[in-house]
Amino acid sequence: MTFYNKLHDNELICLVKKGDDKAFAEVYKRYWGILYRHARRMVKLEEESQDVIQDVFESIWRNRKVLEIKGSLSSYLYSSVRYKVFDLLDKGKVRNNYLEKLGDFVNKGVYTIDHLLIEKELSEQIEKEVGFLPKKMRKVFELSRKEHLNHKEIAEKLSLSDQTVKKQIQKALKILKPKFGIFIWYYIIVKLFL
Amino acid sequence: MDKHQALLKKYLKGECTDEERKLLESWYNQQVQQESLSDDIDYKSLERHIWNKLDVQENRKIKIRYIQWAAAALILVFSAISFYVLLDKNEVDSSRLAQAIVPGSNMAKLSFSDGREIDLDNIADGETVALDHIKIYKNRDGEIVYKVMESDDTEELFSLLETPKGGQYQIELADGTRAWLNAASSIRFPSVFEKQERFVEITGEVYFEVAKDSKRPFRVKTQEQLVEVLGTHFNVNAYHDEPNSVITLLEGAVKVQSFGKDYFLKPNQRMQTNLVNRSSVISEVSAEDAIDWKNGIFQFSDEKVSSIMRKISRWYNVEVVFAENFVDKRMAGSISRYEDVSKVLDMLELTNVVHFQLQGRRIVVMP
Repeated sequence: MTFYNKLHDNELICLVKKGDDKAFAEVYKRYWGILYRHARRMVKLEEESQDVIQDVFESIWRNRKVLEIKGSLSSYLYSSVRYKVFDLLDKGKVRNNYLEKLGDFVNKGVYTIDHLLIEKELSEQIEKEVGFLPKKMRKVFELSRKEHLNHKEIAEKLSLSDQTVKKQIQKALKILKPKFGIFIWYYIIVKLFL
Repeated sequence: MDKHQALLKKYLKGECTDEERKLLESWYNQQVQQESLSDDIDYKSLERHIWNKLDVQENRKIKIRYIQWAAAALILVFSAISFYVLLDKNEVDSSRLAQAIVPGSNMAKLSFSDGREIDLDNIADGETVALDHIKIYKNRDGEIVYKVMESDDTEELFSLLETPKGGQYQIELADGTRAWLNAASSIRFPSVFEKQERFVEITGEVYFEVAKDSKRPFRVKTQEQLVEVLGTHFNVNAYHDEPNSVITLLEGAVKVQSFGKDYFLKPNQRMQTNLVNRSSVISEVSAEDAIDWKNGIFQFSDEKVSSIMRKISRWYNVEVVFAENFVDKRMAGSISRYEDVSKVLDMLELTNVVHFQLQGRRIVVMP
């Protein structure tokens, strides 16, 4: 599985949507550690912290076909964990006096921060956990933040070659393609019977 | 219920106003900064433990079931088509324009030696698909770019790219070599090329632009011949239904092994091998003509009608039959491959050498 770790988060999530379990395993490998640390920090209890992580990943896999992620995968995961923590808080399953503290905070009512800033703060908080992970796990995460050049490399390579004639052909093909669906069926049928 | 508890419930139901949401979330951020965490976490066992609790099934079983359904559906479709075709035959339509036969387009199937398959039509332009350590990227022009990532497993995996009749495709192999497949053609290649050579097998017609690598020759095997190059542009036409195999060199140099003999080609030379008597002839040509198909045109220079009709049959996915009194003459001309077949036939008729009758997807060639 040395290949999936080279993929960008966006590419991984594309594959997950198509039911690629290995891509899903890579997402898990990349994020479970920091998410767990973050959840544990807030939730304190070990079992409940595990449940948070389980719920977050399970819902991605279960809903993979209808999954719609606006923005990045990481911020989707981070806000999912936050939601789960709030859920435990509501159910009284968090061993802390958070409700009290939240009450104080709400009563003060000082909150003029920009929403994007809040999200950025959350990312920073969660990604801080990377520094505490064992070296091997840290590398998994850091590697995923580095290898983003693939598409660009490919694009650069292509612009070097003789594209003018081909572009014209492709233009024509795009127009013709829809009319051609039926031959694909024929082809598959022939393959089935041979 | 206190205000903040009510707020929390609203938040979980997604009914908060923007301001309320910001309030809760900024509290959250502030709170997490104050929390400490003792580091007695056993990552190794936890990673496995949580993963095992996740219900991630291999979905192969589902796929097989899906294929069975698809097969059943296809048979239905096929029956429907046959029925339609049978009906259609009863009222032969002599007017060509009534039923346009459109030319081929980018269509191909990619399969692997372990039985997996990818229908390339389902990949959108600009999208990436991954299979183990193989990454397949479809660029904006619909060309497949094949990337192989470094891999631990040494298991040899072969890929087979096939075009049907009426299909064509382009692929960039892992070493940067580009190959254009004409209709009814295929290329088989390993996911990782060996250290000593880059070896591929083809059928049909493929044009290569081989990436330079002086240490690893690029070898193309057809059923009868072997072409060896270091880095060059050449076209191999090795359709089984053609009497001759034709290898045309545009750039560089190639060595061809054909029935136990070695031949060397220079640019703008064409080697034509009669597969029946196994003799080869090398002649000077305008090599660009050999890749007319790649450039979107049919180019016939002094070509037999039967040969022209085989090209048309492959590209338009039509059946060609010859009338009993048909005489195989030669003709020249060129026309876009992206015209309806009727236009191409009209052009050929202009020569007054041949005439055609179109019956459904069958072309009858008459003198």
